[in-house]
Amino acid sequence: MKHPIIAAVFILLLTSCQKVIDLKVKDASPKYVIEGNVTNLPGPYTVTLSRTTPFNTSWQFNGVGGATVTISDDMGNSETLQESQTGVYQTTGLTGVEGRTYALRITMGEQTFTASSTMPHQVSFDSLYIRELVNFTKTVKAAVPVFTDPKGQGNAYRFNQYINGRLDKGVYYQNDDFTDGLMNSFALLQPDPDSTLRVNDRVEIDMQCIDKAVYEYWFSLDQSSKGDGNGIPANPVTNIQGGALGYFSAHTSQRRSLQVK
Amino acid sequence: MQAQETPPTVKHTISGTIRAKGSGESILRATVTVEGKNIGVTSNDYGFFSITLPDGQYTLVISAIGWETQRVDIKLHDNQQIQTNLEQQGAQLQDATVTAQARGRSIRGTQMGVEHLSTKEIRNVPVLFGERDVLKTLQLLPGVKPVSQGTSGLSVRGGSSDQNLILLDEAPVYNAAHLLGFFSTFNSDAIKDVTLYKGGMPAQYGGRLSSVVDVRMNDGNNQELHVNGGLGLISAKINVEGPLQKDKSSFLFSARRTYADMFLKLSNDSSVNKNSLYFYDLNAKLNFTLGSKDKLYLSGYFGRDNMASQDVFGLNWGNATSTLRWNHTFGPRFFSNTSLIYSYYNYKLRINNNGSNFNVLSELRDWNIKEELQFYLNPRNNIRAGFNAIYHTLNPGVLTGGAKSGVNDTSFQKRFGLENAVFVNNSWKASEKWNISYGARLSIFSALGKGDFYKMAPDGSILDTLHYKDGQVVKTYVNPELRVAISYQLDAASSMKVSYADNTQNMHLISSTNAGFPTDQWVVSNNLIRPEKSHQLSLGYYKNFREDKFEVTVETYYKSLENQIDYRDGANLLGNGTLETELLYGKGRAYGAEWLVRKKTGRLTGWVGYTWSKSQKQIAGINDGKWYNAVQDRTHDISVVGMYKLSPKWMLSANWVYNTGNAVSLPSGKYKEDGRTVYYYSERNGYRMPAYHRLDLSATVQLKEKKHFSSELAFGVYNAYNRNNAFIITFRDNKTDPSKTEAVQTTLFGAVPFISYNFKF
Repeated sequence: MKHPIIAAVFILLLTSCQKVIDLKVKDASPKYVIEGNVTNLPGPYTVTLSRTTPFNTSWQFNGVGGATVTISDDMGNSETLQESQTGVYQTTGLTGVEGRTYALRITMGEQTFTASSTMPHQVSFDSLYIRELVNFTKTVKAAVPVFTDPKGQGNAYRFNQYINGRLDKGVYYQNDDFTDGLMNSFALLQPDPDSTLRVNDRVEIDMQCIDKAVYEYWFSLDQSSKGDGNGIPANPVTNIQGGALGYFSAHTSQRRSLQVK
Repeated sequence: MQAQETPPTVKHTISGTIRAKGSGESILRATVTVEGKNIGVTSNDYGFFSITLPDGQYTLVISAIGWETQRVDIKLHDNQQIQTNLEQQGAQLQDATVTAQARGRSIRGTQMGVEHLSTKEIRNVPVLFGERDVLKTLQLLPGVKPVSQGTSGLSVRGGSSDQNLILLDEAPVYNAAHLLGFFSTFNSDAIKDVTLYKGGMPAQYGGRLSSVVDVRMNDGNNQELHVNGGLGLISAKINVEGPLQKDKSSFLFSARRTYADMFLKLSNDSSVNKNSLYFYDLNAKLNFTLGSKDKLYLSGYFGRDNMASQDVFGLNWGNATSTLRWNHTFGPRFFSNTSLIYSYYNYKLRINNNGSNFNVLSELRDWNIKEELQFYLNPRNNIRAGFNAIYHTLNPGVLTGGAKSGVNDTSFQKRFGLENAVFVNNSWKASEKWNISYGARLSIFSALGKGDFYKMAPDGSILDTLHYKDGQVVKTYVNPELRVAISYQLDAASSMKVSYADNTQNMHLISSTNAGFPTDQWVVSNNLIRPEKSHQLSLGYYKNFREDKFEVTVETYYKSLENQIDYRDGANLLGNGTLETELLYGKGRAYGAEWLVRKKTGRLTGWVGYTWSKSQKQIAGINDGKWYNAVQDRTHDISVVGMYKLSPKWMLSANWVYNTGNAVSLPSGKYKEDGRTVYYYSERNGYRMPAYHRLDLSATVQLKEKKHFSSELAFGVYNAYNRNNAFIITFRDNKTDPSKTEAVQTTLFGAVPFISYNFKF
């Protein structure tokens, strides 16, 4: 549940106005950013190591090369990743398996970052349909991924929505705190026009089963780090040890798509 | 041995009640002084006073600001009861304001950091949509600021909004805001008096760190039936009061409802006309005089807000309070008040969106008993003592779905707390120059079962769950609090004061937005959540100029705070059954200086206030453990309030406010994760929102008066020069070049005109 109330204030009072302003901020020293994924689909899997971009500069990928990056699992497998371009490290032989815990280790001279993530057992992504529902003042169409949460709390999910091949920037996630053992009926719904489905759009959903720490990462990112003023601004809660931003996620991945009618 | 029948040292007591002529309303804080002697007492919250003097002849001078002074000659040879009815200065609906501004800090008393407002004073200050509002008028005084712009939430001397004890006829009001904070729950028509303590609270108050806002409802006219009402742009209200039995009993009933949503209904657009947004509230009071020694008051408040978007989303919330009070005098020198108080707050959230349907109910209930004894020992010593016990029941949330809702019915654990306090205080007039008030309050709080409580690791993970049975004590906190206030009279027109107060707080509001939403969650102290504590020292200088036309006040304060609560980065505060694990605790400090110059009489009245202040926290786990500014930290705060009586019919008023922007966290950098822009924050609240300023104007005109009917028209404009104040700053990718970031400022209110019509008969 996000804050429907905030949006309601703006919409119902109808007196608010918005303008783009020029904002001076201090440039903090850049911080390391890590993004690493292992899935149950065939590799290669990628880990990126980069630095943040100052706020008022155009974003670009500031890759950090020359690090030693290894991924190992709890069955004794281990692999050192190859740097395919500056800051982008890829596996060559590793295959992700449900139920295994993966450990990431990145070293650069004195600096070490570590993280671990457990790939949950896959929950079947049974089907996908489009539902009409009301989003504040408009009736909109939104995709509903159908899956049945297994009994027992602790399952968590994340969804990436692609509309005509373009990634929808909305962050979609769920856990089973209130829906344990139930078939999902919640739609992927965001007020942003870029997240809105139109007739004839091709929609593809990537459903990921994620562990608790990764859920908390996406949850906190959505609440606090997207700059949309919903919560108390802060960096997302990372599962990386050593003082970097970002996450390391071992998750399952299933895709379904359809055409909006 | 012959008993000396009437030795010169024999003393008698004069006691009585001070009331308003014509309405029978009790007058609070009226002064009763003995002419020619430097002795006097003040009427209490029920208009009662008692003064003990040696046998003899006296003239009592009874005065209250806004009322004609009365002299009473007394031949004192025995205990005497007197009933005094004061006449209003200038009986018009309007006139009282001219002098009423003087009700402020008196230079004589020990109490500092206190502000009194009567509804008459609130009348002329322009406010949003023309809706008179006690809390918003308080925000124009030094040291008091809105928590978030446009809202009625108070930040007093750097405190957060939950650190104010807001009392309506002694009942704590947990959410004093209507429509998400744009209006306060207090209907000014039903209010007699508002007292705000910013520091040095008397010992009978406790339970919150920053302030006490003591709101007292009118008793109801016990002489004749009166009806008054008003029609504004967004609301209508009516107030009926009158005697049940003349001189003995009376009733009061006030109702108010906004109808802004009626305009939504006029729209042809079905997506707009099915939305609703309104609130209403009711105030009612009955009081009975039972003989010469007893008086009974029953008062109640009920308010409800409703916000709904089509049939899909609904949120309604509100407070209900009721207070039964019994005044009893044990002889002429003992005054007792016993109160039975009930407070209730709840909200209901309804989502009904094509397949995902559920309701959430959250509630908070207090049962509260309070006993206060006042003993007028002699003209130099006035002792107060008493106790208070509150049983809190918090039901954080019950989620109900139904067969096809897609959610499981879930309820979070109820939480229980017993908050007890005993207090004693003596106001001692040590000499002509020295006044000393000293006392203590003992706060005893117990978290009670039944329920599961947790042992937690430093990272917030739960190590162990402890089960407690119904009524079993989980944890008890005992906190003694010292309250001392000393004043020294420098000369007839100036004084210095110093005060010290400890406070303890066991009810904490967990808010994810700081904007004061109805869904913010109250929690009670338990084994993990410790009582918040504050220790405040303040020092003040007071001077009256030009035959009391002008008043200058300077107060400085330093507050140190313990067990201040903040949230872990990325905390999940909504729908979380184990909120404790998302909280971090540390210390805080707040200090500042407040200047106030008031012009109290003449055609032009008003004040200029300036506050310089700082409010910071230091919490391990936030901002690398370094001190950081609290959200409500604002360095400079200026308010100018002016009221000008143009003619007997016309009154013009204006206020201008300026303050440094709130402390905020702004991003220092950015990066991408899975294709999305994420902002990098290098420090907590390291930046400022743009400075806020605003001018409001209003005019009130008396319309033609008939014998039993008077009316007035008030109109004006809020934010007259249409300043685009930043409510929030958000960030997004630039549409044409997504690698660039845009900062977007949202303004809530531009210039808003208003008009309202008020009548009385």
